[in-house]
Amino acid sequence: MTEREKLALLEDMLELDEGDLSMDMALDDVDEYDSMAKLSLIVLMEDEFDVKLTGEMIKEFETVGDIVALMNK
Amino acid sequence: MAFYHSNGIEIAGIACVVPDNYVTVESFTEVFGEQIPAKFTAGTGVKSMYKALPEQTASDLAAAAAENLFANTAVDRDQIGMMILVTQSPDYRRPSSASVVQKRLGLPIDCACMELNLGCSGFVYGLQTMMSMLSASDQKYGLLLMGETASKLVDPLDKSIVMLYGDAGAAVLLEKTGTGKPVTTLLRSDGSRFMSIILPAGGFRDMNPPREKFTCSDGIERSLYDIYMDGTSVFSFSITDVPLAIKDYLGYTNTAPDDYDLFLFHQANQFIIRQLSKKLRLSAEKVPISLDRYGNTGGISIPLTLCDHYGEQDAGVKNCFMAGFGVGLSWGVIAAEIDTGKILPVVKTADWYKEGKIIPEMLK
Repeated sequence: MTEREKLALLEDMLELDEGDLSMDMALDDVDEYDSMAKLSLIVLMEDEFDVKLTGEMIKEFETVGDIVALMNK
Repeated sequence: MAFYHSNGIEIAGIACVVPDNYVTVESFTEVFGEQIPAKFTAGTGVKSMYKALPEQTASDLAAAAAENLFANTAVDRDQIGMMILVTQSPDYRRPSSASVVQKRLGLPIDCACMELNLGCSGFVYGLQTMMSMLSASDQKYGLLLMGETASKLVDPLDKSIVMLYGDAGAAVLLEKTGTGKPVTTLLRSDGSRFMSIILPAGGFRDMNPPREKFTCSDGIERSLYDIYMDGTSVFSFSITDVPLAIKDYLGYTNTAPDDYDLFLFHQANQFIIRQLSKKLRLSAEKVPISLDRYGNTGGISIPLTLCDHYGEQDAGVKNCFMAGFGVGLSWGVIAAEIDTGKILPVVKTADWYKEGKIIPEMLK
């Protein structure tokens, strides 16, 4: 999966337009990345990448790239 | 693994009540504007709930449910050999609310009464505790009561949970019949995650801390007197540890989801229930939902879902798979055959125990 495809998965999850996200974007600046979105992210990571995210891991995410780095496919 | 077995004990009646105070999520637009409540409903599935009246306590709701059960079941109060009240919202610091409810219901002194401090796992833990006590006794009937008023512990401006919690009470009558299918229960607890859902103030560790608010990790302002929930950790627990317990239960009992008629999950939020259903490949008709109208009512949400769905109809005996999970963290799984003809409709109550409001004159 390319980096662009991974970003597209996140854009789809956050109901954003394609190209809205970039790797170095701070998650604090993404309004759509709220508490419900974090729950969707847990499901997405488990379903698509078999990665089990904990609350602690989510708290440590600073940029969009931090999430993409865990998408190991 | 901690499996328990019970034989010859059946559920002889289930009654639930909610406070006579209906609150819609939409009504919160006055506080939060239009977007936040709409998004909350879309995400959690909660559209409305019933919140306790200012004077109403958890024990009032539990007592009202028990009165409704006695009024509609052919059991005499003198026959109740034990009563357990599951709540985390007691009337007093001491005695336990079980004593107060015993007096109000007129249960005999030969009825053992105690309180069990558990939340969302309380129905499963309560059922197993009651079945174990009944098995070990010469008594025929046990009364499992539940009451919760978590809505009173939430900061009114906490948009993460003020629209989530509903209040309710439940009464479940257990009867030693000597017949019926054996019941297996799995109970688990992980105290290392005790801070995941916590209300720190007012207990004996910190009886009177300052009331100042501070910004929590989720960006919401709370004081130590408000319920704090680490939403992402609790969610991750709900869709990881809970399905694992269910899998262990199915393996141990050598059963499959198809062997059960109904899956009654703690009504935490729609998203969690959907994930659990997806993991077990359950069809929607096997997973009744009540949180859309009652919110998250803690441990009562399982009996409340039963009363909501089967209170008005007798659909025969259903093999029910039940899973409760939450604060503690604590979780449990149990399956039992329940005669839906013994499930009463949900009723509303505005009653509260006026003699229970202690004023100095009463102690002079």
